[in-house]
Amino acid sequence: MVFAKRLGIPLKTIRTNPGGQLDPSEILGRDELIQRIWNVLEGRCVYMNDLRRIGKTQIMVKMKAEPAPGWVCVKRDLGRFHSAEEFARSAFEDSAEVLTGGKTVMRKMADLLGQAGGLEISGVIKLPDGSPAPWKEVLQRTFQDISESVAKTNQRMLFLWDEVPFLIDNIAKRQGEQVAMEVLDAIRSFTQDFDKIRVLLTGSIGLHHVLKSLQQKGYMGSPLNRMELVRPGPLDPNDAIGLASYLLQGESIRTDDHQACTQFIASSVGNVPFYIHKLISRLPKSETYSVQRLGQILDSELADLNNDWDLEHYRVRLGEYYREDEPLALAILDAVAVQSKMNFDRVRSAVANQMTVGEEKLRTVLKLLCKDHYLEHSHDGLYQYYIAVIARWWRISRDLKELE
Amino acid sequence: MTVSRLHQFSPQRTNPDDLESILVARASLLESTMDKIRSSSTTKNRYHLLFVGQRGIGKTHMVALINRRVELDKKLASKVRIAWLNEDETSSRFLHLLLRIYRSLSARYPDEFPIQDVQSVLGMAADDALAKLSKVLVQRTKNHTILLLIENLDAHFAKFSVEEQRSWRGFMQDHPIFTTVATAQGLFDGVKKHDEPFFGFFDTHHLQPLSVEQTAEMLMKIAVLQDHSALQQMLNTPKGQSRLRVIHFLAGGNPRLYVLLSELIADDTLDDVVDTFEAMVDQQLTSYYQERLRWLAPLQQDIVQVLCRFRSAVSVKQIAEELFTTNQSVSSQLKELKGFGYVAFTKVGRETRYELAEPLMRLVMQVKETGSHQPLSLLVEFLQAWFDREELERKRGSHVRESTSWRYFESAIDTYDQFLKQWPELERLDAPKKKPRTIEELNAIIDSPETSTDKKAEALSDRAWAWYETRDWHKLVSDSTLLIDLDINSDDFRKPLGVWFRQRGWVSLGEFSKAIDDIPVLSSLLGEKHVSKHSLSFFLAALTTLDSASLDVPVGLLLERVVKLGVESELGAALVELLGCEMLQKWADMIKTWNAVWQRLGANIPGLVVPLRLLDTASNYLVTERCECLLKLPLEERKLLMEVLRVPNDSF
Repeated sequence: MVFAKRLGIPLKTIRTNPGGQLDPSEILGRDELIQRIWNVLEGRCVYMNDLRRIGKTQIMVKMKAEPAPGWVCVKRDLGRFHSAEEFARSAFEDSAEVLTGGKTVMRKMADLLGQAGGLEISGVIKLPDGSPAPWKEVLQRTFQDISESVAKTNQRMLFLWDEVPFLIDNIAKRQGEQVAMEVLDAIRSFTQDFDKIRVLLTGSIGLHHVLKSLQQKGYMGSPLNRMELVRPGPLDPNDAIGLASYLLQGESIRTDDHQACTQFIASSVGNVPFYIHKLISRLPKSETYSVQRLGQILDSELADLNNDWDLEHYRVRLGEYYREDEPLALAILDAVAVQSKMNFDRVRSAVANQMTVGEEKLRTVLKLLCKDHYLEHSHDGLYQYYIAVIARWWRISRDLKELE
Repeated sequence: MTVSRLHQFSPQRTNPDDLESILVARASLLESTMDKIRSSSTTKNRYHLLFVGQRGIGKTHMVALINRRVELDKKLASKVRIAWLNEDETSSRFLHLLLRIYRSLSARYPDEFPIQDVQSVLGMAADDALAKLSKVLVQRTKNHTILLLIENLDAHFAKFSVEEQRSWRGFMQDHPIFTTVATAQGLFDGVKKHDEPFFGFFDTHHLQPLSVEQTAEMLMKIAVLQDHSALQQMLNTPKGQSRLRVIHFLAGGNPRLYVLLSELIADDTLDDVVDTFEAMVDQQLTSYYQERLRWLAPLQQDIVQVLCRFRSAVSVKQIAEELFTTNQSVSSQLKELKGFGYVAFTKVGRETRYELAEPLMRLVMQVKETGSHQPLSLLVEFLQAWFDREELERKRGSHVRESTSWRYFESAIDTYDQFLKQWPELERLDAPKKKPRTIEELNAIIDSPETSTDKKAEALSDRAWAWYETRDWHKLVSDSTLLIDLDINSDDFRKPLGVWFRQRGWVSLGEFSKAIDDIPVLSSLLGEKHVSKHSLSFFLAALTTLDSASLDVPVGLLLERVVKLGVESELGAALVELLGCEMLQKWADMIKTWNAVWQRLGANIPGLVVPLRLLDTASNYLVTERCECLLKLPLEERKLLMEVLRVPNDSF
């Protein structure tokens, strides 16, 4: 198989596992991106942002399982923590766990905690007098200890922090917005101050949503300013086809034309691995599938009012994101959904049939739609849906027919 | 022999061997799940499966079998630690859930997960307890995979705040020690809404209702398991299958209900299934449905009750008006109810109309609400009469294949089906397939004293066909009477064929009373204890050849006789079945007149309420060709009518 050869992996089969935790060897098609991220991390921290279920967490899992030479990695889902103290404790404990020498190399922390400090398992780190250790100080000392420790072994430390927006939101709810702001500032400050330490931040929802809410409460910081924004995007089409092929074989699903079916599966769901897993997991094994039948099954999944794809989300949130520009956004999305690829002039004439709109306004909303992952603007100047399955759902839900 | 007991409401208490032996329809999903559990024990893959389906659909049955299969697979059991949580307990915090998981593991593997670990965190601050218990659980698990079997996941999520859900998800991501098999009555926001922490986390599988065939297979397995010979025998009879179809129509494929209602199928002495059915409604079904109703949120309960009151599919607006609330709130609750399997919907253009997915639920509620048993008994009686075409097949089956008698019965079934589909094109049907003979040749055979009775019967039936084709009704009546009176085996199809010919002749000659007298004669020759819809169908088919102005007299006489014999349901079934006749469907004028006569003369006959409603709806549909007409019928009646009229399910 070309795909297997290209990736240099043995021919294999994979079971569908939409949404589950994948063995790193089964996270396919991300090697080039991961190498690019490692390269970026040499110089700065990374903020990874993209649509939900695009595979951000899986990228982190693979980076942790297969770190680049010279890197020590910690991965943590911060959504489970509800206070700055818990967050600081996890940074300390995680570091102690992976650094050569463990807690013995955390000297500055030992100074803070005394002989018995940090040994007892609890929600927060306690000082000798039993009071909670100040979280900022714990973070500061932990970063200093890490920095000194990795310098000795000529290594660097990477924190893969998932669900950062959940952490900030949790802290804001339990400890107030002020503490949440301070945590953001601390992350920004420490990651700038320690060259041997990098963080890769991501989350199910964009951090900008949480920032926007904090900014309304007076937050002036820009924690992401000096970070490189990485947008993983879907898989390369060939990788997506390869994944579909492995999954069809892993699930012993019969097709009348394996190549055509794998191509259809990959392209119809926009080459997103989660959706590829999901669609194949929904295929009963009793049938032999053709491209046409696969299309019927996908359409019936998407048309089901009670489906669990929740692509309706992309329609509902338009009102919140675009407010008075919602009708224009809808007109653009309707037009692109039926044409698949359009240049600016064609979008303008399609929209002009429905409303009067100035050119600059149209350009602004188009840009926003690209920023919000509805559309993408290709290098040849064409607008198309970022993820094909959203376009497909859009046509179904709005009774639109795709033009040939 | 000890009779196995099946706990209908607590499958986990049933002997697992018995659960294994009665499994139907889910074998492939079960095997695939087992493969994934095996994979999670040898790789870093962790699967989180969610089985979704209404109560009684078989979710706990699946979970119990997964538990058993892991236990029996020694290699797998050595790598997996099972935490099967009590389905009736829920948790409001992740810490509580973790405690339940630990306790469950401790009960099963006390040496590996000592209960002292739990005791040591009691009394601590919640955050400290969570941190400690999390760490201990991960350490104690070592290199095993914990198989978390958790039922009613939706109930857990209903109690968990978003922050608690984040804690749970975060723990699972940080410590990939769990593979989960969860169940829920329906998809719920916590897993299907884009902004929720667990969105897309679970690999969801909807457990589909059983088909009639799968139900029959399951009941047969239960009968064998319980050594219930009466049920085994009955399931192999047309009557048993007929009863099964009635229940299927009402229960909509819910295995728990089938097990509950299996006695209705089993008891051959039950002359009146309706009485037994209604007793069951009183004793078991009402509490079953009330319990299901209680499980719902208050507005959802209100919506279900509104849908119980309506006999047809209704719009969101209508429901909202009934409940003095907004369309939006009703709409969102209806989506939930659809996910839980309580409601079905039909799209008509841009509008969506909703109704109860399980007809039995509405009927049970109606019986309780109105205190009248009428709707239930009417429908059940009608359905009983409906599903008995197999009788003819049974008679055919009692003869050797391709024997003369077999061929006659084969021809009867074929003719009967032709009646339903193509009548009155029947008149162009050929006589039984053989070399045609002239009237003179037939006269010679019939008049010869040397002709055997069998040959004479064959010639008489052929000559009757000839009179039928030339519309010589007097001669048809005469020959068919000779045929009926011949001393041939009563099982021989030529006798009922004779009655059918004679009836057709009498109708054409305006001798309606005589034609009606032949209905019980035909039933008797077909081996039926009572007048059936078959014999009535033949008569009705004959009536449709008359002018519309001539219909009143025979229909009036027929109704009088039917009421006297107490076979209104059978007549109703025959009336509805005749709607499958293509010609009747094509001639809008004919169906309108036909419907008008029946509505006028049959209006006061209680047993015809359901069929006349179907006839009226069919008439509207055939005249207007608008599918929306069908939505005025309740689901169970609409499904049946759409089948008869051959309206595709996606027509709306």
